[in-house]
Amino acid sequence: MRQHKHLSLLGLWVENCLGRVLAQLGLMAALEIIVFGARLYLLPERPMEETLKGVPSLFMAGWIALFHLLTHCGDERRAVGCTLRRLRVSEGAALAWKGLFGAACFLLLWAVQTAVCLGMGIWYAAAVGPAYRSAQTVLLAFYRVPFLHSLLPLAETAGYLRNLLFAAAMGLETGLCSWRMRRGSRALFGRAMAVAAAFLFSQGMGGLTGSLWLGLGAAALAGLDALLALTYGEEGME
Amino acid sequence: MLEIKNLQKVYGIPGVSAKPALNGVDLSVGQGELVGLFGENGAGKTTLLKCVLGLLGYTGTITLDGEPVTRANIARLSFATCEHSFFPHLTPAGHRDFYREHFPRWREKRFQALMDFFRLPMGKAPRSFSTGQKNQFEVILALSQGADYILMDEPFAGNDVFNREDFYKVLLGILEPTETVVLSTHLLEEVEHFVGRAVLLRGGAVVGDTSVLDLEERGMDLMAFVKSAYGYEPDRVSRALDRLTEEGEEDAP
Repeated sequence: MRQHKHLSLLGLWVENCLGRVLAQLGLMAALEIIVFGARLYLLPERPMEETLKGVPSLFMAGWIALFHLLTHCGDERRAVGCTLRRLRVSEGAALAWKGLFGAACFLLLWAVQTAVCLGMGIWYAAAVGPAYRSAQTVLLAFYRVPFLHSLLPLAETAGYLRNLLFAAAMGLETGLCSWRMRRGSRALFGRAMAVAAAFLFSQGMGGLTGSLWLGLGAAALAGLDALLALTYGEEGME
Repeated sequence: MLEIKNLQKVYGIPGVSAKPALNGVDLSVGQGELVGLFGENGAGKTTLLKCVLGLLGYTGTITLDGEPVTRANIARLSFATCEHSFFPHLTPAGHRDFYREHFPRWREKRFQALMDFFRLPMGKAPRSFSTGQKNQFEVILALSQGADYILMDEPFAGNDVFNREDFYKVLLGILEPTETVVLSTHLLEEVEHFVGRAVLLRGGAVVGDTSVLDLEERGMDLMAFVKSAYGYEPDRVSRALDRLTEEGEEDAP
């Protein structure tokens, strides 16, 4: 069956990476559950934030690993650029599709992490004694613990917006990093941005204004990076 | 007709670290020709092919039937490189679907026949292929794209001699009269009976351009032509050895 030439690009990234992305998310979730379970049974009757220790670090590691995986889908190789630059669509369009796929993967990471943390909350509420348990244990944990609140900001709309903008920025940066590596660059800006975003994403919100500024800042940086790359970086660094 | 006029390419920053790679190359390749592009390392072979494909910026003109190479006619050119331009995680079946979408004259039958001939698996990602298989797959894609001009840059580096021989035979058998091949390689003797024309690059310029038929009439083989165009001195080694031996005798106590 004939596909649309643009959709075939999206299909290219999906077929290249999706299996490994899912495997990596599964591994991250499994490690987090093991760490959380071990703390829950070895150090019982502690507040949720203490039991959760180690999980935000694993999430950050998962974030950086996902970024690395997406920038190393095979399309970062210089010779592959010879094919990508001979297609019936522009390289800008290829970058946009890769960015879209990357953003979807980061949204998936957010969703998986939120689901895992919700599961952990329910598990915690069932395992601890009455001193730490109430009808609203899980809800209060997501309100009180900065890491959990950043995943599920409850009524704070700016928090969701920040997370969406972070995912979009990371998606675009994965495409840009591969684009730069195809031209012989090490794409250090994108990598630095991924590490900074991993840290900031797992932190507390900092209020409505702070969240919005963070999200808008990340998206603006990625957008500017893309503009500079597409304007000045057409030729390869051979 | 692929026409290259006064092609110049300089790497680095002009005036600071400029390194000329192509120095006024003029070359015309007609449809149906099988051209061997020869030259030492750094002669500019790869740079020339990449300029033709529009992968590198340059000064001068490159036209395809009088038109500059743009996205509108780029599909008339295909490229096989020893660096491998396929997607390593995408199966050959995935490549087939992808190429079919982006290259309107994709040759399905040829792709399938070549995949069968080289016994390459359709469902296995090429990253797990051997070097020889990767080269085969790279060339299969270039041949199946449906291009009029097939550019190849050392496509068989890492393949054994039998494998390469098979490929030349297959190439000669399947190419249509309108298909043009420009093959850059070091393996002079092997391609001698495959190419119809030899172009020699040195220091970024064309220093030799002849048809193999002309060479045969002159009683020369390709290697002799290359040596003469390069000004190769046959007694260079013996002179160097003589000099070294003399120095050795002087040094002796």
